[in-house]
Amino acid sequence: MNLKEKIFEKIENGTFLSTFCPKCKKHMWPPSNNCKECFTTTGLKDIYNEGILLEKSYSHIVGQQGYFGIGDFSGIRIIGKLESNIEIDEIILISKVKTNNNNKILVEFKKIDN
Amino acid sequence: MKVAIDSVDTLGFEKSSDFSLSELACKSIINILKKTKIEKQEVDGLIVSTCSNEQYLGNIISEMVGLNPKISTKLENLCNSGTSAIFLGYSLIASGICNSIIITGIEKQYSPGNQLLWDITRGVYDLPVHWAALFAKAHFRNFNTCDEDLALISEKNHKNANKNPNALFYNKVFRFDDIIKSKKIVDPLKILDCCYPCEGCSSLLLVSEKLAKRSENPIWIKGISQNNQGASFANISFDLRSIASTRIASREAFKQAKLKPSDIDIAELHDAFTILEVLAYEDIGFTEKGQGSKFVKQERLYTNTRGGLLGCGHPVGATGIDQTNEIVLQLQDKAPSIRQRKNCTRGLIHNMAAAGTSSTIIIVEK
Repeated sequence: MNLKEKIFEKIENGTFLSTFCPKCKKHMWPPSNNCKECFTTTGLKDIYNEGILLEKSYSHIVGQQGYFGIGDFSGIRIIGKLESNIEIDEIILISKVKTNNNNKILVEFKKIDN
Repeated sequence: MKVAIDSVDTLGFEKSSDFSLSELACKSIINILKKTKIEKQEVDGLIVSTCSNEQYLGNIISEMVGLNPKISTKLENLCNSGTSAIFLGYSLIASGICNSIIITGIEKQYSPGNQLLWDITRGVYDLPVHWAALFAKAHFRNFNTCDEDLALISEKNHKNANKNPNALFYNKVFRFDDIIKSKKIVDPLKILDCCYPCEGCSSLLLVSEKLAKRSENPIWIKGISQNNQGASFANISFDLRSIASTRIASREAFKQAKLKPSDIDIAELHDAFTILEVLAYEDIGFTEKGQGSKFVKQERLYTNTRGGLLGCGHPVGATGIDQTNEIVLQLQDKAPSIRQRKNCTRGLIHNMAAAGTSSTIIIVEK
């Protein structure tokens, strides 16, 4: 299995992983077998699922209607579907992750209630 | 060693035709060979810019037109393919390896280059309009840019396309109100804020300083630079107010040319989406950050006179070459009279790909 296949297999089980450099203590996203800073072989590790919403918009495209946005999760940036009431710079949580038939990662973000 | 553009050719952009990619390329290359005083036997390079998966296109096209060049190859760099091919051709001539290289860009409407499927960071939002909308939202929020500002760009470029018979939307008139009321795609972008993928072919001939002595009206490449920040949107989205690859390539190209943005008379900017033209004004340095939408109203620079990607359509592999061809024609005073601008000495071409992960800047002078 290549890296993408391994990550997608875990997503099927509801776990969102990416590669992690044990030396630099940093996630690699998109995933890579070697750290791009020190070239150390990476391993797989859960993505920290609390982040900040950087920007958002609303898609009118059929099949993708609704709010979406880009979140920063400790340096990893992911685009996902949003609840409507989340504002820029608010803290968000990856509430759901799965893959679709087109081999894409479907991520959903929700607001963290204080 | 200096490098000049000797001659250019563009076939009309359209939705689709029955011609194959190699047939389109041959037509355009033959047009170039008829226009130039350089003999076919002197052409020692052919670079084909396309996102097509067709194999061995460089050699197939060379054989079809009877070229036996030192190098015959295909180059793909998504929407930035055309100027990447010019960059490679320039380098081969500047280094003395080649003397005369034809660059030809070809694409069919349904090209693999229309979407970057590799980038899993975009999730299911893999159409380019999604990242463009996030850039637009950030600009609106930070600098009070509005729908009307973007509509003015679309209106200007579509009007210019109405003066360009090669443009996909040559016969289509879009007024300001049509643009404002056009169908929403991804907020704040509407359908007339977006370019349209199409079929097209554009070619040009690069020559060495020695061969340029036989050119009637050589246009010199004074600066050429490209910057690549990666391939995924995630890695460039730390600042959605700006496109770093454009800023870096621009700075380097101006340094090479020993010029500054105010020295440029005419520019072709990569307006795949209206917001990208706003960002280009700022990131190239024509105006301050946040002032792009005001700059377009000041009309201090001729921009996208062929109609831009918005008006011409976007045949991915041909776009960067056609942008360059327009600047060459304008500097040579050979553009059709209806769109010929006066007193242009220096021009700039800005071409980019995949959410701005890579950009090329070319500065030319007559």
